[in-house]
Amino acid sequence: MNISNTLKVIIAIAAIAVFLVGCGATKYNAMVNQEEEVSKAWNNVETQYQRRVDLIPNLVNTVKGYAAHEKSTFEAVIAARAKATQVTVNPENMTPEKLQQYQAAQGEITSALGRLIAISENYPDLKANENFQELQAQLEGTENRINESRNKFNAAVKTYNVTVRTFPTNIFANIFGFDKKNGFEAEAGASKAPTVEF
Amino acid sequence: MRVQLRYIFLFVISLLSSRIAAADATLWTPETLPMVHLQDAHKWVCNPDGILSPAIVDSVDNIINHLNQEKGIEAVVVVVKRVEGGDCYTFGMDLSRKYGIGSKNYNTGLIVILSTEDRAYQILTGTGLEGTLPDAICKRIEIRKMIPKMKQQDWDYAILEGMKAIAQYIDGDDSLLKDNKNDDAEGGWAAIFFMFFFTFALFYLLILSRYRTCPNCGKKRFYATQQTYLYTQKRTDYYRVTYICSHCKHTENKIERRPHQDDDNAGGAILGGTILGSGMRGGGFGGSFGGGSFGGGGAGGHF
Repeated sequence: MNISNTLKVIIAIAAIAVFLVGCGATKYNAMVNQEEEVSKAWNNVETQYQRRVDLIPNLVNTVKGYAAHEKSTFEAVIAARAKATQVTVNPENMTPEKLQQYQAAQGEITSALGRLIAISENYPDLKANENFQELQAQLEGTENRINESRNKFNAAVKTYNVTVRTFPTNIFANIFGFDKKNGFEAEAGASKAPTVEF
Repeated sequence: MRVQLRYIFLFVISLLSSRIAAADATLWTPETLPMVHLQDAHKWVCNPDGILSPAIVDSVDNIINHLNQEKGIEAVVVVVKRVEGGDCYTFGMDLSRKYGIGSKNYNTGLIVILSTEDRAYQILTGTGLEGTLPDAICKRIEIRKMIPKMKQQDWDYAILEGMKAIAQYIDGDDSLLKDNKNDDAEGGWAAIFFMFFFTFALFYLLILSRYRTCPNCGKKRFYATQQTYLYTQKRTDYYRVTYICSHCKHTENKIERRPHQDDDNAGGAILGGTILGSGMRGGGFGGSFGGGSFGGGGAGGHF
């Protein structure tokens, strides 16, 4: 009698353990998948920012051809570009400070490019140049892509965070070390509209 | 004096009403815009304010149908007076998110928007079309083909010339294969399958209905082998029909009455007509979109 009772207890414990492991495995897989989505979205954000950086030499050279003496503006763009290429963020260990830094560096490019486009307003020949108009369209398209990819990144982060922080997944998240991630904040750095200075 | 007053009154009323009419141009949103493609798989141009002439709408539909068949492109052209917010880019992106224009695997969707009273235009390319139609090329098409016509308020040719130019770029890109075709083919297959199934079921029923229960052996193998027309009375035809059972060879003659028909084939013609009619109206089948996504590529602006 006694033996069969202990057996029952052991079987019950084993069943609960199997259930918990099964639960943990599915939750773990879900979290890994969502983390992968976040890093995919982040890679896309970086690709789009890189695309903008790659546009800069062409854009600067075209404007130079018409407005050679706007030296300070060109230098500002080149400097911002050089600075931004040094700041990279690894999606695996993305701290809020790192993201802030990245955003600030990209924000500098945004405002420097804004000034570059603004001075083109003073040169009617440049404005009418089809090559310049096409470059400008590429820049606009890239800014749009950056926005889209940032939104998608934020959405992916949100889905991940909701999973990691809701019960009962948060227990497994704690065990396996899945931390809350940070998305872009609307008002910081890069999302600011470029200021036009005269 | 009274007459004059009345005229002034009428004048004021007409002035007011014209004001109201001017402000009445619908502010289209992605939710309110009627998506014609969903009603008819061969239509792609949303022209709810009737800005484009029917002939141009047809031509543009033809261009897009060609691109759809040859290159698997799903393109939507929207020409309206005003869009909500006056921003064609946001409108287009919302539209793309709502309908998922373009194939899901290849993302080869395209949206062209012209808002005449906002004086705004936008070409949006799906992520799979960004290589074929880079932003710079979109801008070039707009600068060379569309903006000059828009400035003359020649909306018809702004859209037609623009779409022709876009089609040239897409046609010239061999990396876009026929196989890139929209995934909504599933919907098409389902319709075809349903039609076949329906037709087979009908024929099966027709064949089955030939057989009756044999009064001799009780098997359902009793069928008409021969019929002789006897006479017509009160718009009823009388026939002598010979039945035979294929199981026990039992034979029986019966006199049968049928409603008089002027044309012997009338029944068949009606039946054939309905089947064919429902099949041939293929264009009337609603279309669907593949679920492609847009990354914000393309070019637009104000004229």
